[in-house]
Amino acid sequence: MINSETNTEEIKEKEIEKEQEKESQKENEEEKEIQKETENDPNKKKKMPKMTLFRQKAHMNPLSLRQMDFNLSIRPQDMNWNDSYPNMGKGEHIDFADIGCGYGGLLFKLSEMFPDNYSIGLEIRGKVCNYVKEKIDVLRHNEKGKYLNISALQTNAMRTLPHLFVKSQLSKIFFLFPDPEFKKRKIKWRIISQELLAEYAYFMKSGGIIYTITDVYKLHSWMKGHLEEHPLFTELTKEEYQNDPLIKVISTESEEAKRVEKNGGTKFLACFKRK
Amino acid sequence: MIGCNNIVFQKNSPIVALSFGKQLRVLDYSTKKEIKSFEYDNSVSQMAFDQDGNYFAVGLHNKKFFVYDSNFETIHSDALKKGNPGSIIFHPTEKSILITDNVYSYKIPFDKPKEMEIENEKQNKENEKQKKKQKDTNEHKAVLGHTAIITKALMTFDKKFYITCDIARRIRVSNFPEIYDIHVFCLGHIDSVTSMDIHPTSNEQFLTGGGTTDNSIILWNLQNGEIINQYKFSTNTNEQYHKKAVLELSYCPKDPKYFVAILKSVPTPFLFQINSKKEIELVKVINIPDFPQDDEISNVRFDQNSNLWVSFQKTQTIKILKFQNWEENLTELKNYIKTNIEYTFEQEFITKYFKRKERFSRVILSSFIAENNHTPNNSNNERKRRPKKKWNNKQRQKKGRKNNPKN
Repeated sequence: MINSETNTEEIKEKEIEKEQEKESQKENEEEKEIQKETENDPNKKKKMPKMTLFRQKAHMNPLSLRQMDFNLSIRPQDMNWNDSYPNMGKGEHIDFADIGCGYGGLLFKLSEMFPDNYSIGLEIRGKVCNYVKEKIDVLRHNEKGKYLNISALQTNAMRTLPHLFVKSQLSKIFFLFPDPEFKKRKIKWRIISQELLAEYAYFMKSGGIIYTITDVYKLHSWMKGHLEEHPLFTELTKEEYQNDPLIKVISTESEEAKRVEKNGGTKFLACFKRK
Repeated sequence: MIGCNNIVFQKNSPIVALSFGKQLRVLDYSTKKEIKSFEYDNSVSQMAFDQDGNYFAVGLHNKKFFVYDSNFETIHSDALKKGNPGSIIFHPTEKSILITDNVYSYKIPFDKPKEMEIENEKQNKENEKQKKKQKDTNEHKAVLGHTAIITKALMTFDKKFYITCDIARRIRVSNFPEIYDIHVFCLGHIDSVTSMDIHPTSNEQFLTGGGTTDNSIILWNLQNGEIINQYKFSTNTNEQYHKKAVLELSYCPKDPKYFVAILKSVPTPFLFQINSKKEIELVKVINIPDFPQDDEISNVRFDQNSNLWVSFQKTQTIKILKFQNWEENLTELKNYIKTNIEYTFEQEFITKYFKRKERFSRVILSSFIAENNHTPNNSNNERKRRPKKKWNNKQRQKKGRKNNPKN
């Protein structure tokens, strides 16, 4: 039995599908051309990137040697910051550092509060860092003249800090909700320890402040104990806790802080000053 | 046959300590007599003398270390928890040692133990309880920490700065009594920092040597952390000197313009000079006469009288060359040492690998593979594989849908 009718019908359907595919391809090409035109078009606004496309697993081994450790310049004086800060002058330098910045909630608030100071966010995960970079590009395009004093960089902060900063350069360092690492064999992955505090004290000016905040009480007692033992750090007084406007920002602005508020957890603060 | 690994001199006296694997010999080279000889369970890694000549310390590959008196009687014997002792320095004022682990460096005190006077049985039990408590809380606290393996640690002659180098191309200069206060980071090497030496009289410069891809010697300014001058072996016409690590450096104590360097698996040490313009110049390539066959140089050190001591890996002789008359006046230290050491290094290596397979360090393994072209387990690089497991029905139900093809 030859069903010529069905064959012809099938052939017709295939032809129709092919025409539809060609039309859709043309539409896609037209959209791409339109996008290229509107990339640098100042009148049209870009869309913000979606956070769901940039998710990545939270735990990475900071002690393993990766290729991104060897891509930076060896001396901090040779580093070129003009790619990330287009308006940076000759005598200017970075003031604030956010180690473990995540999705960048704190950075966007810092650029509004301190328009004259430069700040940088260090993150070890690649996808999360790309999210922050795309968001900064979109915001710089939509609102002219703003957000020119922040940027993000993908590095391992335990290894590459001497390649980025000079002695006594920074005035503030932030550690917001770091990874607790409960197991005994992972204690050396924690970001605050007696050996690393000597490096943070080397990069900070006298009078600079370290801000730490966590959700977990064990980590809080660990960090506070190590900071008290170190003879170059002293705790802030109660008046300084109340007068500093950044302490409210820390506990409400980043994405982790908002998650903690939803679940109804308590936050523990520990801020210390360098002598 | 194993040769000499380490040569250590005592300041202002003619005493030398030489290590031949598991054995250690202490000599007096002016009178040519042997003072004492030690034997250990495991091979010796580092030794150190005190500045005044009162104490002597030894570290083994067993994680253990010993401290001896001026008469070479044991005062203190202890063991580190993680890793073998790297470099040992005595504290100038207190009675304590600065020992480097793989990644940390500790400050450990040593004192003569007091004698406990026991009267009753109750005091016996209390004393035992106190001893147990002290052991639990006797973990040595680290004074300094890197994130990669530390290769060398030294102190300047001023006792003001404490310098450490590691594999991650980093050199950290920290103030001495307050080690938590860093003075400066010296950055400029491309590969790991393998050797270092300190100027005997001035506090302003020191030398470091780099790894295989770096292949250079750098003169640093200690106060700023900047490079004064750099000498690269890749500029030399001889291709044997390219892409080799700098193993040892040593300054000449009488005339600190001169210093000597050796490269890995190159049979000639090099003599350098520092100009008045502070540049590094190659003065001479020293050819050692009667070089033993199939052998390599292991260590090079300068004397207090500025004689050069050269030791080898497999033969047990040590050659002494005189300053500025290198190839003419040569004496051999052969008859002072009784040679009764016979064991093969490779067998001991293999037994260690099987016993402590989990804690075996990657650095030693990679060097073994580079030299012998095979792992110590099998020569054909065969891997043993486990047979595949067959799941039952009950196990499949626990695991879920993926492993159960019926659902």
